[in-house]
Amino acid sequence: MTTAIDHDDRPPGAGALGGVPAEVRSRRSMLALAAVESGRLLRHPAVLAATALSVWLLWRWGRGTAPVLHYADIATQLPLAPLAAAALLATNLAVLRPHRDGAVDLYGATRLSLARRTLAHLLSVLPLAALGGILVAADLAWLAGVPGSAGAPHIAEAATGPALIALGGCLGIMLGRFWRSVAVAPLVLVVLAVGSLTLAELQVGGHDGRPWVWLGALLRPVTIDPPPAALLGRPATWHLVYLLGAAVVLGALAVWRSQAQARVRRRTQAVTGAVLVAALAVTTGAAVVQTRPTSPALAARRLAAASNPAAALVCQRRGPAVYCVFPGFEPQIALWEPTVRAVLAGVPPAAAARAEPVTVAQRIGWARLFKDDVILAVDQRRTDRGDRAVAPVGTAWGQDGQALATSQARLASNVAARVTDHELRPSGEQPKPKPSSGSAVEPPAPGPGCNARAVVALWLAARASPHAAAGLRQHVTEARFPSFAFANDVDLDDTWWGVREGRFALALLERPGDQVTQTFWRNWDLLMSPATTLERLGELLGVQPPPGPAPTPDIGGPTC
Amino acid sequence: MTTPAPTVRVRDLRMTFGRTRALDGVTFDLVPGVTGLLGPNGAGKTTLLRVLATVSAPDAGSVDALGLDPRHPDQRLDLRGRLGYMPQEPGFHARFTAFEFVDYVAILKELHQRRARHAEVRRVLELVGLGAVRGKQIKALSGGMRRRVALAQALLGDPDLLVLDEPIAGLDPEQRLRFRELVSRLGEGRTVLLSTHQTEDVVALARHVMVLHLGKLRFAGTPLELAGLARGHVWQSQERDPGALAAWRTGTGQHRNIGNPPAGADLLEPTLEDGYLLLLGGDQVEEAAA
Repeated sequence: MTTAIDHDDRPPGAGALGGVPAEVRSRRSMLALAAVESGRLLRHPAVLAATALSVWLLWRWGRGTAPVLHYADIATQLPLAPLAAAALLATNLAVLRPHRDGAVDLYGATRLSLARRTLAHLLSVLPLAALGGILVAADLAWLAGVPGSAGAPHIAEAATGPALIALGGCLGIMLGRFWRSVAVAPLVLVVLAVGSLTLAELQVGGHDGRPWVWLGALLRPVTIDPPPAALLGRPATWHLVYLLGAAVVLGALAVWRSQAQARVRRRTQAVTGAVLVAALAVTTGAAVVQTRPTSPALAARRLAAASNPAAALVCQRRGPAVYCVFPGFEPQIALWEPTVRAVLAGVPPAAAARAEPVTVAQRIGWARLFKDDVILAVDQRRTDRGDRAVAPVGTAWGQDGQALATSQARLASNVAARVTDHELRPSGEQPKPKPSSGSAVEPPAPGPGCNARAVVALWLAARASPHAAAGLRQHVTEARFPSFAFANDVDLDDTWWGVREGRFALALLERPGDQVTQTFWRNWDLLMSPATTLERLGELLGVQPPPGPAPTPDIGGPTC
Repeated sequence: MTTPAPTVRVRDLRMTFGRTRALDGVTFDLVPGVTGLLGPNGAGKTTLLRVLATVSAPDAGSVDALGLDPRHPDQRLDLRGRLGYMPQEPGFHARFTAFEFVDYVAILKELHQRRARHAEVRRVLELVGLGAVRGKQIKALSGGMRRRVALAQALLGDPDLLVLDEPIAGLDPEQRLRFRELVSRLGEGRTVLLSTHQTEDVVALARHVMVLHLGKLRFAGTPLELAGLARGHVWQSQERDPGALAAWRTGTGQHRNIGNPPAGADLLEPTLEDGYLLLLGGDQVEEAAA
């Protein structure tokens, strides 16, 4: 052990502190402490584990469909919840460190005040929140580079996840300043998790009817197909203000408590009190604003878009088809084109030359945004308008697996329905609104329109791509009713198909494609007649049509 | 030789925890150099040191340390910038390295310039002989090394006043010797208040000694003066003297007795420990008589 002390080499001692005003010195020390604490926070095992989990969740979340950035930004929020939880626990442990380790006396003999130490802990959360922001930014940047990526992220939605991390960190610090037990923070975390899950369940079916669920920390989107940004109606900015305001309230409470414990001057504590009151006012204001019911203007815009979707779309001709999309969704057209071209390639050139260009138009599953009576009104308006000439496609275009199969089957079958003039609802029966089911309509009973034309259309659709064929196979296999449609959120313009027709089309897929094509092209006019039955088609092809499904009592009506 | 001016003036300190009077009218002065603070468990030593270190405020009385009054917030902060405090249980953060721990305390002491702070942390760690292990986690250090880490943080900023609460407790003889050497040198030019149970540490280190018992200051003087209290009250005998306040068999086989010797007793030169025991034992006798 070295024991030589040369007093000539003594460091400046008090001089190390001198020369700088006390307030500046204290503030710089607070920042230095914040830097040390943030480093320890970022290296905390809980934070490291949560970061890995958040990265994985960000990677996995919402990867089934082509990115719609003003929807993908919402999907970045929940994956950051583990980081927020870790921030809560780790900051709480950091604040309680002197109590856990018995260093209160040691700290008590130092210059940096308890309130400044609390402030340093609060500041130490910022790099972790920034890490969350970097993860979100990286995720959104990557998504923006994916082919077909549409829309633009909302800064407030993207910042909500990092704000949640800040909120978690501030909560952990506040709890540590009020309760010296390390058991409190995990208990609070459990309560918050249960509360969040409960709120998440309550919002199922749409948060327009229950705006107060915005008092929770996170709200996931409720529709499957992303609406245009202007029709989303999420009070993202106010919710961000709400979360940040709550974080400031918790932070101010922690500082106020620290000042009370250290018996600082009343004037100093009054400043903290003023910040607390101001933050509370902002938070309350944001809470009130964000929980207001959907504005009449937004409701009207949504109703207009639902009643007359064509008015909201922008169209462009590409080859044999016209594509109509909501503004901002233009990049998705490139994703649809191969499917549309593949379907049209199966039509005899002469027939194709006679036909009008197919119009592919985007539709959204509006049902989750509207109450039942509104759905009825929309249905009536669109029925009256009689706009049935489009091939609807969703705004969520699948990228792989089941989502891709469904998307391609839907588009291909709707395009095929248009080029074959297949009636939307052969019986002329309109679908009935299906209240509180999460789907716009319930399936109509297949009527006498079950015919060869539908089989041709489904065969053309299934031939468009292996994914479309897989989609047809899945829907036919899993159909619970005599008819089905290819969409999660079925639009009024979607085509309904008979299960028997689907089975026939699937059976034809087993036969040589060229042979079937030649038969179809030779008998095109006959097959396009609504009067041509499945039995007649079977005769032409030399195959036995599959039997129809048994009548369903709750649906009624004849089957194909 | 002129007596140096007091650097710490304590007047009539009183502090109560429930019904316990931890400090009961304690008054003393400290001058530069090492002052030993002796006292049995529960005497109030740690309470007194916490007050001097500004960790807690007394119920009554005053402290003037280095010309600063800790009752005033600004002066209290200034005092904290000029004192080093080594608590009895420093409360190490086991996952910190020695460097990180001392650096953390340096920040709390508002050594805000990173480069200068790190240099200072390295300096104090070298000073206590831990330069080579500064990157080791504290949980991996021995008990003696941990005590040195605790001392190192107290030395940050080269304080004018060092308050050390039983810094040598629990150390093996070799470490104690080295610690004594270090504290002895630290006492040159500084005011060091060293709380201990070990009278031999005081003998080895202190120019002045105080004895605290039941919250009251029983003695303040030099080690020689404390030993002198027992002059004429220490004798040896073949057998333990039943009238002695304390007696024990020494290595020579003789018994060393402390108290009021019988006539013709074989008196011995008293030590500081004799004086200390007599001081406390005498009190106990008086209390019993009362």
